[in-house]
Amino acid sequence: MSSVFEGVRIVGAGQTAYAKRSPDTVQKLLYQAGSAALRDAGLDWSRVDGLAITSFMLPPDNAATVAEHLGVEARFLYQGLYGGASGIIGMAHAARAIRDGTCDVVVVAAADAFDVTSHNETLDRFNGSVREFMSPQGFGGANGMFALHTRLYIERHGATREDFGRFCIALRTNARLNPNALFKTPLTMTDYLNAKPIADPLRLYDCVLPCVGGDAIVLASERIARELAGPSLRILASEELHNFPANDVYAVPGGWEGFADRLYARAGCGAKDLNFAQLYDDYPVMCFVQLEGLGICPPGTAHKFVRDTDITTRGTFPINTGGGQLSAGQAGAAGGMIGVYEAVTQLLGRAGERQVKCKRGVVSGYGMIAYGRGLSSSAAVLERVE
Amino acid sequence: MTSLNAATVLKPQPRVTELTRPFWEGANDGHLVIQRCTSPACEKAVFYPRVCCPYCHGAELTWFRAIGRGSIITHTTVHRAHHDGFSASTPYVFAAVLIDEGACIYAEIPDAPIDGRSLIGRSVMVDFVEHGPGRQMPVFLLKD
Repeated sequence: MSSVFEGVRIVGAGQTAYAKRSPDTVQKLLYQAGSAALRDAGLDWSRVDGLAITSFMLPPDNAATVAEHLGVEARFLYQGLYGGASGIIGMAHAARAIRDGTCDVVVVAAADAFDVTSHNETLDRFNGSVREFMSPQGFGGANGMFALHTRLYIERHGATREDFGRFCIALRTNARLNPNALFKTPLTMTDYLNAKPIADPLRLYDCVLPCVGGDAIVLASERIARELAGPSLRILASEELHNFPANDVYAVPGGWEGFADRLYARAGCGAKDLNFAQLYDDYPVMCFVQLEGLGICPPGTAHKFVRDTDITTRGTFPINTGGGQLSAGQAGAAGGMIGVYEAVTQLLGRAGERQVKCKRGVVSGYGMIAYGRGLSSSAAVLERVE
Repeated sequence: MTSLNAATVLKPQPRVTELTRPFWEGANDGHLVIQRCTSPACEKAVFYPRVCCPYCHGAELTWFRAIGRGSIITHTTVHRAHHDGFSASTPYVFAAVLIDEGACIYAEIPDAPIDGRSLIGRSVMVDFVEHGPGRQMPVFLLKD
């Protein structure tokens, strides 16, 4: 079967430890994550000739100054501008550049050194419509915006707080097996339901903690991948969609339902052929929307899906096997790479205690919070090369 | 007074641009002023302010005074403020309001119950409150 990314392989993944605070700069985090991914692949920085970088805190620096900082002569650069959708989009751009012969080895990395204050400040000036028509009106930040979505989901589909709780608790269970995760204390339903209210119906454990960290993967041409001792992965398909559906007065769906058919047609498989999903988990409601949009369960039934399915690493359909952002932490733009890192680590068979049995999985991204919704969605299907 | 406290911090103020000025001038006059497409085939209400009609891509938008009536699409009670200027106001109800002309406007519902009961579908009417120096802000009040 010929993929649009023929001749391109994913050969390694790396992650920094996630921390509540750290004096490290974004450049250092990108270096650490990238170095870990290159080590994982059996490569080093001298072989890198392309970078795909996403970081909210990087400006006034940019991808070119990161190349300078790290001493990389780059034939290909990408700087992600689509928040949590950027990691997958960057991976796809890098794969096209390798396929077209532009470059041979690309480090795709994202990192930030966030805390609650810098997260809110970033969001407050994210774009013109938020800055003028949501923030002064008292939107409550991302928490408030996704509280609006959560209430609507509950009202439309009959989901309960316990359904969202089941999801968050399963991710915490997964995080306990991830050495880099921030939150490893077991979470009970009582803890979840009685946590501090943030923006009704959201309470503390529905919300990610802005933190410090970075994630990276390495893409290489098939020629270089063959030189390496380790296994490699194929990108079967990767899609992005922005501002979908255009002009819906108040849209919850995100872009996934707008490209899922095309994603699976290009991948040559269906949702039923996936062994796991690494979803963009800024809030559990968006994971429900992704499960439905990506065809993993029918529309309006994700809350029932998580009632009936064990989504931990021991389960029948594991989701966010490293704990996701909800339990590993949200290191700003790294939120758009943490799922990519986890998908690659699982498919390469290097996930240690949390390893799941897998050959093929989906990873999904979401970002660019604007007037009431995230504008950018992305997803990719990855497969281990046997 | 030796230090700032939450009550003294100004709420975030809109940075008014040439594009958005009619909306804010309307608010200061006590009116909800938004855009509408002038193309006879479209005539859709448009908010937030745009440079062209996002529905038909027509170049001509005109400003008009909306009735100010609408219904609540969805809402939240904000307990944790995103900005120190709102800390003294928490908990308060924030909502997406579908105005009768068909646009979505985000605003506080100052008279709404904060206990989390569903307000979806409730009718609301625009009102204006002091938001900062020389700045009136639209809010919506429950009608029933």
